[in-house]
Amino acid sequence: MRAEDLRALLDDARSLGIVSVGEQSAGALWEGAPDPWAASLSVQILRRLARTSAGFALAAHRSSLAVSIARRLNVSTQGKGVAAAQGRFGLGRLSLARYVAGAPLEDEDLAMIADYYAASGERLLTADDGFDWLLAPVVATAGIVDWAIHPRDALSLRRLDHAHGFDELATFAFRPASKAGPRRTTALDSATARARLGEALALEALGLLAIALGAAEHAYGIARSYASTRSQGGRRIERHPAVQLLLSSSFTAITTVDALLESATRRPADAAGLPRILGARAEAHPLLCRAANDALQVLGGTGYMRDAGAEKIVRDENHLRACCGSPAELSLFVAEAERLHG
Amino acid sequence: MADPVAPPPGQRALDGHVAPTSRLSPHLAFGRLSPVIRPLVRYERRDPWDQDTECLPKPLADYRRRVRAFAVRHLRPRALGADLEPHPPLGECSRANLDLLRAAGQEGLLSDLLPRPFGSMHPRLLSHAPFLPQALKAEELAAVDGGLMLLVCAHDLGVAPLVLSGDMRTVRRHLLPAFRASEKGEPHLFAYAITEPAAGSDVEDGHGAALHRPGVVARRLPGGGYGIRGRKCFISGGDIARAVVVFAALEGEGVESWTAFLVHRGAPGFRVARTELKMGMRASGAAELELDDVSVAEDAVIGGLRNGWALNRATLNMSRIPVAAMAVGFARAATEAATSFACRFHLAGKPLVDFQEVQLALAQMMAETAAARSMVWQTASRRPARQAEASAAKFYCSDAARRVCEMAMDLMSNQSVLHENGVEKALRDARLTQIFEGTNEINRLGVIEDDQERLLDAVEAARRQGGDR
Repeated sequence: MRAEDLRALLDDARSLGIVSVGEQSAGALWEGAPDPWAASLSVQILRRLARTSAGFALAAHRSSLAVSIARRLNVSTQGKGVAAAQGRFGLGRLSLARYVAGAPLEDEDLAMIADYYAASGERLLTADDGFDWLLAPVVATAGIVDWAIHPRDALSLRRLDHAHGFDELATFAFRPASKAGPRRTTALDSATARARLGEALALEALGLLAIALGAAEHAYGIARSYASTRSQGGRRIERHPAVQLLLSSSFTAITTVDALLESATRRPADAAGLPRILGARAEAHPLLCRAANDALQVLGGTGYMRDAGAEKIVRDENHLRACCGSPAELSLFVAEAERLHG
Repeated sequence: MADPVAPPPGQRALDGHVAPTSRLSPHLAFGRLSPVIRPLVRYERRDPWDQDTECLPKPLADYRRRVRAFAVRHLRPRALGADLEPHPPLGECSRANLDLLRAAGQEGLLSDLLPRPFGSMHPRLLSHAPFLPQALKAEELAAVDGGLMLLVCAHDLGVAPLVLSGDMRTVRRHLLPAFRASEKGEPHLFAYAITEPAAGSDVEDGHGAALHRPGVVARRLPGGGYGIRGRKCFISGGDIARAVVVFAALEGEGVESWTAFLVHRGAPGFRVARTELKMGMRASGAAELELDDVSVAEDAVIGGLRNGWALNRATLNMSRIPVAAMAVGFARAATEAATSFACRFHLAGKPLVDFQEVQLALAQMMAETAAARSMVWQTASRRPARQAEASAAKFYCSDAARRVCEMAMDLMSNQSVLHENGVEKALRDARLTQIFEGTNEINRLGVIEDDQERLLDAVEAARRQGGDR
C-alpha cells in the first residue's frame, strides 16, 4: 500500500468513526479503554485490520491511542493526533517498572527515567506522517512523568527513510523544536501520572501485540494458499512433512499468542495489568516472528521476493518486536514488577 | 543500587566485573603461576579476528587478510548505500558495481577457483583445503555487505560446473580467456541457472527431481548444436553475466538427461526478462532469463551430455560451504554492529555494555558466530566435499545467523529498525542463506540422502535382529 493511499484510507476510517478524532465516538479504537471489554474490542479490530494491512492497523492504533490518552488526561484536542508512548530507548529498564508500580525510586531510577522521557531528548516513532499533533510522556518534574502535546510545527522531525518494516509509514526521530521544550504539558499529581502512564504503556503494548498477531495470520494465510497450489515430487507441497512442519509451527505460534492475548485482555489495561500484558508481548513477538518466517520459508525463493508479500510481513513483525521494549527488556520489566508485587 | 565491588578510583571495569587490574582478575592471576604453566594459560590482549587468522596455515591466513583488506577498501564505502540503489536498466551494471567488479577481477577474486597458471589461486592453497579459500572470501565480503558480496561470489557458482567438468578444453576455451580478462580489469562474469518458475527445490533434491518435468528443454538442431527454450528464474548475477550455465533437459527426456550448456549473453533469443525486488542482498540482481530457441554450438555442452544432474549436485556440494560462510559473515556483521552500538549508546550516562542483560546477549552472539565459523572451517578443510557435511554446515550456520541477527536487533531495540545502524540489513541478507542453494529443509533431507546406505544397513541389521522388539 502506498503512503498516500494509506492516508486516504485513514481519513475514511476517521470519518466513519473507527479511528478517533477529537469528539467521542462509541465505536472508535481504544474508546472506553482501559476497561477490559473496550480494550478487547479494539484489540480484535486491530488484529483484523492487520490481517490485511499491518501498516494501516499501526497507523490507526497510534492515532486513536493519542485521542484516547488525551481524553483520559482531560485534554481537548483537534485534528489528527499520534501517540508516542515509548521513550528514548528500550523500556527504561527496571526503573520504569518501579515508577509505574509506585515503588520508592533511587537516584539511578530518577536518572534513568529522566533520560528515558527527557523533554528535549530525541525519540523514534513509526506512524502515519499526516498528524497535526503528537502526544508523548515527558519528565517535567523530577520523578513525575507528565505528558506533552506537541503541535506538529513545534517539533523538529528527522525522517529516517528505509526503516526495516512498515514501508507505507514514516519512521522519524522527533524532539521539541525549541530548547524551551514542548508547547503544552499536563500537570498531573504523581499518582495520576503513574496511572496514566501505566494505561498508555498497556494500551500501546496490546495494540502492538494485536497487530503482530494479525500480521502473522496474514503470512500464514499466504503460506497455506501457496502450499495448496504448488506441487513438488508429484504432489502438493502441503502434503510434504517438511512443509507441514513449517505450517504447523506457524499455526501453533499463532494459536499460542491468541491465548496469551486473550489472557492479557481479561483484566483492565492499566498499571496493575502491565506485567501480564508485557509478559505476553515478551513471549509472543519471538513466536510471531517465527510464524512469519516459517510462512516465508514455505514459499522458498518466491517468499524472499517482494511480490509475494511474505517478506514484508517478516520485516513488519521484526519491526513490531523492536517497538516499545524488546523481549528481554519486557521480561526485565515483568521480573521487577512481579518482585515488587511480592 | 551501587555495585559493592565497584573498582577503586582510577581503575576501569564494566559493571558487574572486577577491573582487569584487580588482583582477582584471572588475567593478572595467571601471571603469578609457574613459568612452566604460564604459556598454556597466559592472557594476551588480542583481536579475535587476528587470533582466528593465525590458526590458519600461512597461505590461507595471508589470503584471509588480503580479502578483508579488499572488502574494507572496496565494499565498506558503499555498504549501506548499495542496498538502496535503484535497479539499473535490465541487463546493465551500475557504474559503481562495475568498478567494484573491475577491482575484484584485478585482485584475482574472480579467477580464484583455479590455481595458477590457470587461475589466480595460490597453488599452495590447494594443498591445504581446496574449499576453504572460497569460504574465507565469502565470510569476509559478507561481513561488510551481503549484496556486494553476492555480486562477486555468484560468479564462482557459475564457474564451478566448468571446473567440475574436468575437461581441459572447456577450461582453456571458456574459462581462461574470461579469467585473463577479469584480471585485466574487464570483468567476465558467469552465472548458474537451475531454478525454473515451477521448480525451485525440485532441482536441488533427487526425490523431487524424479518426478519433475523440466521446463527448459534443448533440442538437437539439424545442422549441429542445440536450440534451448524455456525460462530460468531467481538467477543470482544473471542480469550482468557474460555467460550463463543453463541446465536443460534433452527434448523428449526427463531431468536425468539434464545437460549443462554455456549460453553467452549476446546469443539471439537470450533475454533478461526481469530482475526481482528482494528482501535483502539487493546490490546483486536476481534475474529471470528467457531462452527463446537460443542456438548453441556443440562445444557449449559442459561436462558431457546428460551429465548436468551430476554437475549440479557436485556444484551444490561445493557451493553450500561458502553459503554457510556467508551466514557466518552476516552473524559477524550483526555481532560487530551490536557490540559497537552497546559501547557507544548510553542510558542514564552508562554505556549499554555495562548492563548485564546486554553482556549476556553479546556473549551468546559471539559464541554462536564462533561455533558456526568452526563448523565451516572444519567442513571446508575436508576433501572431497560431501553432501551431508556441506548441507549440514549450510543449514546450521544460516539458522544460527538469523538467530544472531535477531539477538542483535533485540539488543539494539527500537534503534535496530534504522537502516543506518546496519543490523536490520544483516538480518535481511542472512535470511536468504536459509533459502538459496536449496532451502534448509531440502538441505536437511540432503544429509539423510547422503547417509542413506548406512541408514539402510542399520534398518536391515535391526530387521535381522528381530525388528523393534
